[in-house]
Amino acid sequence: MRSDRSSQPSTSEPRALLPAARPLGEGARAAVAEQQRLRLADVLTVAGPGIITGLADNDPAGITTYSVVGAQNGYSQNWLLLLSTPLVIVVQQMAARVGNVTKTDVATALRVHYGVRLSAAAVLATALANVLTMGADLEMLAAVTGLVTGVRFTYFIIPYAALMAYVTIFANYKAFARLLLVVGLVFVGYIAAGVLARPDWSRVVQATLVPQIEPTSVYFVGAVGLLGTTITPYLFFWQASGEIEERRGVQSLARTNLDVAVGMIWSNVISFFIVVTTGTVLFANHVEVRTAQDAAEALAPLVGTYAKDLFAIGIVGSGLVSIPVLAAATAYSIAGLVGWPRSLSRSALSAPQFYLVLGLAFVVAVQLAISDLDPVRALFYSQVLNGLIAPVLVALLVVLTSSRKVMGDFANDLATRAVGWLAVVVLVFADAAMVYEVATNGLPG
Amino acid sequence: MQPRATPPAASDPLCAHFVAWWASVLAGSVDHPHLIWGQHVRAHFDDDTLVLTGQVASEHDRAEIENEVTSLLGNTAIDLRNDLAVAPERRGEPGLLTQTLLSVFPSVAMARLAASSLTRHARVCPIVMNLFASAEGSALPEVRAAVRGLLTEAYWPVVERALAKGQAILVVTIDETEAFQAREVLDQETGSLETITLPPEPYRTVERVRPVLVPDDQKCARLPPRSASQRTPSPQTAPPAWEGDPR
Repeated sequence: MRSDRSSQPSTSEPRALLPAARPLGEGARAAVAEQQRLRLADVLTVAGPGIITGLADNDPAGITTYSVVGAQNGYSQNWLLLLSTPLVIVVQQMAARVGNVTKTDVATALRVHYGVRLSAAAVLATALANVLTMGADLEMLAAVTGLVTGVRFTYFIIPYAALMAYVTIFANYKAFARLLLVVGLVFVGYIAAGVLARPDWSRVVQATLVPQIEPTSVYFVGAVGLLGTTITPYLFFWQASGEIEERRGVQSLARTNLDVAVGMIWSNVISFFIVVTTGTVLFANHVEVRTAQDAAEALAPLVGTYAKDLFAIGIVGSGLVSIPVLAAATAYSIAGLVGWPRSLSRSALSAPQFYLVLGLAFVVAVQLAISDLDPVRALFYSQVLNGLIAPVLVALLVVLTSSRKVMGDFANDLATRAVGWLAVVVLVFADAAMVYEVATNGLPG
Repeated sequence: MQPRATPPAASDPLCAHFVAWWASVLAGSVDHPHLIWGQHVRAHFDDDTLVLTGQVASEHDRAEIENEVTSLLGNTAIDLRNDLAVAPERRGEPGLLTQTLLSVFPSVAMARLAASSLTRHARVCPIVMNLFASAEGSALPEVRAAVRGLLTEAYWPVVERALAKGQAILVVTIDETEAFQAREVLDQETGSLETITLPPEPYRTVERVRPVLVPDDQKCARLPPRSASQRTPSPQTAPPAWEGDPR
């Protein structure tokens, strides 16, 4: 190798293709404008990380939360579901764009650009909420299986956890993603349930379009739980990591945005019908949801004695999708924070720490599941915890994706920034109102 | 493709790693990922036949692995069966955007190893690559000037901090469609302290950066600039040799 101390550029040398010192990435978005045009085939075949995120958003904790909200408040929080839909779409698209542009996950991007302390606080808080949710989800999975079989539910916890851990660790990402998409078909049952419940659709539509706020702790705790299970921090980490697994760069931005939008709309449609079903069947008869049995009862007028079975299928299906995603999201975020090799496409030997964290998440979840927690309360309050963490995570995401230093020409435009900050405001308002009501009137129930 | 007549050059910093990996495979330890191709390339024995399985991104990669093994097997009685499949991982159209990665390493030697790893990795074809280092903890003014000509102002403090600590910096510009692979190699497989991906930029011609000036005992590795005809790199061709490439 020659030393270059004395060499000078020659005028006959070709120009190098290099970025020069100028506004970061200027013109990059225009350079790939042609690639953003969606063809019919793109629309019809959209089935990527965004769809899986939407399916995982309706985990057993989410289904239980929506059931509790519907049973306690009827249709009065439907407008929150409508409001949260564009918010969650924009937030998830921001998370996806972190992966598309920086080619790395959210935890790594936060660490690189904002330091270890900030990213560690965000990651560890989310990991705590994830593991609590996993434990609650696993317990609910076992509880509904026990409901159907008549066998004590604790016998099902370890087999379920072992099965999901095995599939998550040993299946490669593409096979894993395909499996999740197939299992997610069970959610169609909730739409059928909502229609068969024969609600008063005029009241449903009115409650969806006209905001109503009741200044009670029941209402605000329910609101925070609903928002926390809809705009869920672990899905930000999963979304960006999913883009990396799929190797979707900025040329795929339009497809990514469509994938995310479809996934989140589908998720909220399911949530809407769960609230409508329980609001119609349980709220009208003043039936509270305290156990899996109570939640299954919402389906009894529709399918009679098969209510338990149908509910169990829905919960088990949602759990089989969301629990592995929760574990993987936890592993991605912690491995990204520390800088360990991380990918579901890697074997355990080439990413040992990543899979160790993933396995530990399952172990801790099992411990929580076999403890004496009331599964319904555990599920509900795990989502309340998510609702408390979410505004901080969303704010970090908005700041990160608004930075031209990080995102260049793909930084948020004004409208996206506005919607992102609106999401933060809504979450903060709900959290503050909940804290105030609980402080003055105590926890509901 | 004809097998190599001689083993890889001894000066190749990755040579020792390749030899050790294949030696462990030939000794029966087949579970460790390959240094370059990771878990995409696996090897196992079928009686006296060494079978290569997995997936690589190009015919060149497939042939290179076969050459690597053939030269190491030499005149042994072990047969080789290459069942590697070619499945390009690149998504998107090359030649539209570039992306620059900035990696900080504890030493020049590690940075050089990482650079070699990147260029030997046929799926990544760096357009330009520069290695910066300072002597005795102080950044030479020339190095600082070269960095400032290469990177946008927002990232100068990262480089200044690393040079002040006596660390080495690898700055690589590649096609944006290869950035996932490049980042993964630099961030997770080559021991970098930090790897930052700058935002994508359009492919365009700019003034050549003044050559990097480093102390005599620390070499600079730089690829020759690509001509207009090379602007859309094909994943099927081998990466161009660079100044520090021992091939």
